[in-house]
Amino acid sequence: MTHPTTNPQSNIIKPARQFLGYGLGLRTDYYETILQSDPPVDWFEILSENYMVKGGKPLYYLDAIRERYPIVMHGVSMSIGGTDPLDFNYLNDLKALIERAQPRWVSDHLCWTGQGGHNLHDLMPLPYNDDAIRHVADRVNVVQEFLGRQILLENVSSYVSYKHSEMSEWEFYSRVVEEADCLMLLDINNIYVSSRNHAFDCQDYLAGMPAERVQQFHLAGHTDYGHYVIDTHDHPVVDPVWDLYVTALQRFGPVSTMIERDDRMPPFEELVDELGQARAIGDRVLSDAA
Amino acid sequence: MNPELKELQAAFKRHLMSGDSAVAQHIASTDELSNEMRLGIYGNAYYARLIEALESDYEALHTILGDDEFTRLCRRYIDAYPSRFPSLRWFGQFMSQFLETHEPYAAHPYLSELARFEWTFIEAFDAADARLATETDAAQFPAERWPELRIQLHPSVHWFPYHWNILPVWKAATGEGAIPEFIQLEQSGYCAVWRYDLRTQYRTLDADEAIVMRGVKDDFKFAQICESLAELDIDPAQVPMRAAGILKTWLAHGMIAGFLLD
Repeated sequence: MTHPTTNPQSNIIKPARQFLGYGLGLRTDYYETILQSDPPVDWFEILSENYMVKGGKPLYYLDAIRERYPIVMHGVSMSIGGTDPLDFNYLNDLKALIERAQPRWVSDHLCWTGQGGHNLHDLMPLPYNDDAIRHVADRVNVVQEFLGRQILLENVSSYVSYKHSEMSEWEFYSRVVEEADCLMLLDINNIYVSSRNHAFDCQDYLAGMPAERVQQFHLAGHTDYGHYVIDTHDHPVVDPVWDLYVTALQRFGPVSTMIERDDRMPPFEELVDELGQARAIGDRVLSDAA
Repeated sequence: MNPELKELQAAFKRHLMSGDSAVAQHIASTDELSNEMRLGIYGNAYYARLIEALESDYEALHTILGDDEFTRLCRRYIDAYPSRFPSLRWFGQFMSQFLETHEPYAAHPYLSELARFEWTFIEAFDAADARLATETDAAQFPAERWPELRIQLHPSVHWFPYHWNILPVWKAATGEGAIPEFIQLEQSGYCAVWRYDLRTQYRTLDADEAIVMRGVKDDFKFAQICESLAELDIDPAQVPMRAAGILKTWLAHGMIAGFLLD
């Protein structure tokens, strides 16, 4: 493991590439189970917005669980690709939560989530062109300066592509993180979902990623409608996504991995078992590579 | 045509919020999936996500109206109050106001009252934390200083008047048993909602409690609160004891955060 470094031109802390192991999303259904059963989960990811409140249950459980497990923060409303001005009320709240939760790192999505002051509460895709790359990179710079740390951006599942996109999604994603000097939260399921919706080859996607910037993986389930696939986080991870995870581990080495589940919540033990599957794959692939 | 990013996003938003189809010209179709179907995935998700949030906020209202009517209400609410919040936590906050001011709901004022009750639980759920005061805290002030004391409620404490039998209706609609008809009460009641030990609680307030609550919320000193209690037909000599008794009850329920002297 390397140590965190600071860019001499600014005060942005760059988190060292840390392999935290295998984590789960912290969801309200499981708060008590986690505290009482001390489950074999290496770390938890919180949805930042759910803890941007004044008090009560969410912050109580966050404080209790973060004493026992490493935490990372994952947001959905930064709208880094949006064209409204960055919301500094939101960023202030995010910064306050970072102070409280002391996360290993902070992520959001490579997308836009609102316009004209309205929040659509969805992860809307960007056109893949030079203008959008510059636009996002400029905003990431502002956010990273404000938070004093590098952030991770996640690839989203998408259902439309724009006629005036000028490059592949993976080229766009890679160029954004290079130009913004930020890190990647690579969602393996989202690559699969978008590959089905836009008919691209997932292997091309993985091959196009700058390996040194990949800090975290997401795995999740989806809903397959035949002609298209929707990223619903309400089913177990499917075999083609596990296969893609193997390829990703072979290409990127040990990367902190977590499973997202947001609907049709199963008993916690089932998620721990599913995480065990990720761990077994990781152990096998990484020892083969060693 | 290569639209500016801002223009593209504005057109996409208009599509989701009002069905404007201008954005479709910028979306690529495939043989398997037309651009209309692709946009439809986002359009469906927009309403579905917001309706789901309102269903979670307004369980009793949903039960009473039934799925179809509740969905109609939600779609109208979503169009009237599109989200301006980073989190869905705050999205539903105008429901009571909407019901009060839009027909056909306004003709049934108990709906607005019920929605306000349900929203108050959400406000209490994640209101700021505070240490709870105890009887020992109260006892540290000598009797002669009590007239000047101000009472600080826990930040989660809300109170409001109600004019319909919303409490038994809510209880049945969120639990089991037959839901009673809405009835207008002969005399308005008051209800307090707060959080104790991480759980939201509610209780009806007697007339004297409501007067004390109003005084406390208005930042009155204990002496002023006692003067307010004189509105009721109470033996003046008994008023301070009555007020102190109410505060003792609130202490036991975890509603008081502290006592202050100027």
